[in-house]
Amino acid sequence: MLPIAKQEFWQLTKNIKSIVMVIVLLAASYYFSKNGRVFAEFLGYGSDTDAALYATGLIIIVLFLGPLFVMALSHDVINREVSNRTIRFLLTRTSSNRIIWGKFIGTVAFWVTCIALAVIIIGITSHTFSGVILASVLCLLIIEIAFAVVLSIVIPKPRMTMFLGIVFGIMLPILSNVVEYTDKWWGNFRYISPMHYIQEENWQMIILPIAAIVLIVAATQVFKRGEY
Amino acid sequence: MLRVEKLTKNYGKKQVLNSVDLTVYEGEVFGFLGRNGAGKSTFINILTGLAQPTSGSVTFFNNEQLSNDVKKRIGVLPDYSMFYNHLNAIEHLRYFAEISGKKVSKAEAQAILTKVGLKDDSRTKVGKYSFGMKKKLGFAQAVVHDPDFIFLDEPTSGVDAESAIVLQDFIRALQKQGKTIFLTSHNLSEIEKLCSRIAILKDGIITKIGTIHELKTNDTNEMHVRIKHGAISQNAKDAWFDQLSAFAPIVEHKPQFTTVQIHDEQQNAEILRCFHRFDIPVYRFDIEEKSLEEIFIDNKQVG
Repeated sequence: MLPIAKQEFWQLTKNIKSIVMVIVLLAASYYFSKNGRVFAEFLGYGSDTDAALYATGLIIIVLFLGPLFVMALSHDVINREVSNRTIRFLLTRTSSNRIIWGKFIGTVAFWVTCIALAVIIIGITSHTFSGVILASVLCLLIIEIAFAVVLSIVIPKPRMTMFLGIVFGIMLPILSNVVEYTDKWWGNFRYISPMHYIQEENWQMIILPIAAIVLIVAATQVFKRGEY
Repeated sequence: MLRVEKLTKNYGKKQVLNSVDLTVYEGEVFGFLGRNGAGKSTFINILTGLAQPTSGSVTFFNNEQLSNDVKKRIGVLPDYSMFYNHLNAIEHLRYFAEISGKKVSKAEAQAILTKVGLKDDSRTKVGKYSFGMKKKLGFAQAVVHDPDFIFLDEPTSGVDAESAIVLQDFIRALQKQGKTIFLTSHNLSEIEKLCSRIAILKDGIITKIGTIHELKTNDTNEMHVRIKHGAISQNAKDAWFDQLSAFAPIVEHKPQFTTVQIHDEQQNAEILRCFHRFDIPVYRFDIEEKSLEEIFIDNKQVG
């Protein structure tokens, strides 16, 4: 599992798409953390404002672009191996479980590294740190990564997952906001929106990594039934 | 080492493998033949965990489950090898070996690549490799973790003649190290050179299995003996002809060449006695076994 996770991690770090996304993430984090005081005064908060304000850039990027970024990078995390037939080298050496979990952990490790870098930048420039924000952001990314893994197992064609991933990445934040703040009947769909569970910044966010584990376990069972 | 019992695989209504039984013993090079579509690849895919059987069992090293510990002892060269284009050959070997639970140094990886003929291309990105080079890398990755049992599916197809000889020598070296090798190839002379036993698969059924000699002789127990001899007097010819053909049917007769069909090598003495009885000198005596190609072609034509 660990070699597969390492390989996935390094492959993501060398990918030009991921480099661009990390630059966007870090630049936004830096910009908002540097100008947090200005935003605080503009919004009428005191100078001892919440650390969250300095992390606005990180939060905006993760909330609104996170699903798109994750899908763009990891929509084909499994099915590219299947379509390239490199999966045969993996499956003849280790179990389906270890392959799927290795891929998942490698992708999570990449995003944890990116978020950690963003948090360090925010910490250095604003001298603030919010563990709750860090946890919320990571929980949200973990469920999105799990969804990307599921998508790439269920749908064998990388082109199809790229299309669906982009649609999902764009629609998820929009639909999540619509269902979260409506009084209409469709507001009940908020409970299937990952964003709902980080709204309160409390224990509810733990539901997301638990759901991610359930998704990965289910996806592994689907993967085991396949023929390669 | 490998025991397959009543292995069956259906795709919908189509039966690809029909209750296949097979045993491969430790240290042998086992050849597995069959025309395209006979079910060879499906069979290997099931044995290596790439596909699931409909019914039947596969036992490796006395384990019925293809666990990770069992997989560590197996090496596989699939029929069609694709790699990660952004990695070089050394990186591939180290990555694959690590997945199999073995750390391989760059020097060790380089040594294996040298053995398969990729010495000078070990640091080239695999995206720039030709088909034959990928095949060699596929071979290298199958043995990099020092497995006990190695599946080689068409190891020399698409490889130039010189490289094929290098790979065949490597297979022999692996056998000398005590490795068990399961080899498929459409190159029958290669199978004949390398394998101690072979099986022929036809329409999902193993129609023949045994040593190459057994297959050649037991097929119909039929061998041809070609005899170069001296002239036969006209008076004796009919009697000689009758006596010889009584226990060895004459397939072909020319003035100084006669070919007879035998089912047992013990008939040879009687043939020689027959020539001696009529004072016919024998200059050459060749037993012609069926070639593997002939057996394979016969097998294709059966049914």
